[in-house]
Amino acid sequence: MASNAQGSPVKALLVDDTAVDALILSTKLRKFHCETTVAKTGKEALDLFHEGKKFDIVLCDKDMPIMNGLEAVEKIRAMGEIDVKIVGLSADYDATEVFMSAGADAFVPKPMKLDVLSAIIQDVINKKNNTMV
Amino acid sequence: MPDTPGAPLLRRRLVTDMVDWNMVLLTRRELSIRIKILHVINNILFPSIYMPSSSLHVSLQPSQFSLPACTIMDYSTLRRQITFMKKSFFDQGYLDEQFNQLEELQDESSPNFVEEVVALFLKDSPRLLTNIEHTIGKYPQDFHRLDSLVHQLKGSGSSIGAVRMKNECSVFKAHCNDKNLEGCRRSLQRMKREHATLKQKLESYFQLLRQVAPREHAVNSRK
Repeated sequence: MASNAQGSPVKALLVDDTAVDALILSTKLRKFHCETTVAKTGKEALDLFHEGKKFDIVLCDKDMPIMNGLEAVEKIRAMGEIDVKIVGLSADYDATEVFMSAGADAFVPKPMKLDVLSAIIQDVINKKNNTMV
Repeated sequence: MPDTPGAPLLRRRLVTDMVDWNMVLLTRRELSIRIKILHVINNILFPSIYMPSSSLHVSLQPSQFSLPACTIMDYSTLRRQITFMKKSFFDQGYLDEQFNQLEELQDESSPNFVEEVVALFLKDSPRLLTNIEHTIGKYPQDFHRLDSLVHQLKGSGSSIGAVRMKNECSVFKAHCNDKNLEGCRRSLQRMKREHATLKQKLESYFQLLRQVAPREHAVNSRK
């Protein structure tokens, strides 16, 4: 189980229009004591950044209505949000290249396993702790 | 234990009556016989039970009463049924390891998590199947839209471990890729059948789970 020695929860933004997937992944994030916000489209995610909200990690699905995940990732990076860790998600197993080209740090095929998520969250916590030192 | 007059009939009633534990109307004699039966079982299996005072109305709470042996056997039978049922889902290829992962996420803070997730899937998926059917019927064919709809269904099916649904969605996507409308139609019919079977099996499974849940909750509360 990922742990945060400094105590502040990891702020996660989950971007997924599929209710089943959003429920499962937000439950998994809760297991790691993450403070999770859910957006149903890339546009909703972008609006949150425009409002000044800050996140430590964005878990972003690829195929969504209005604005898909790839476009959202490109625009988040274009806003200057270079520190936030962005992980692309998709039921398409071969979406690595498109997500990395858009500016994501990693791609994980759905459904994401708990141990994979644990490693990702721990990585975010380590980065946060190193930044605070 | 020596039989008192009328004990066999009362024992049979004990099996059927003990389902509702909140309010039981007992005569003094009935109460005495039931307590003797439960006392014997308790001495073997559980700590001593609450002994009500001699009154005609007795309020029985699950936490105050241990289970009589007959209800313990019913619970064990139910538990075995649930285990066999779930095993059959895996053996027949309806579910895969992802379903186990969902069960691992279930805890005291979300005790019905798996049922909630499955209910959400069973609520969303008919809409997707209907949209797929409408899109197939349109002219000119929109294979891109069909692919997008089936992609959603494949994703959510895969998330709950519905492997047959997931596989059939992959077949459908391949037909979309080949722009094979007839293949899409046949695949859709199979998807609908798989969906109906999965729905029936999972609803039966959760129905059984709900029957053991109150007892497990009572046991957990005594810990």
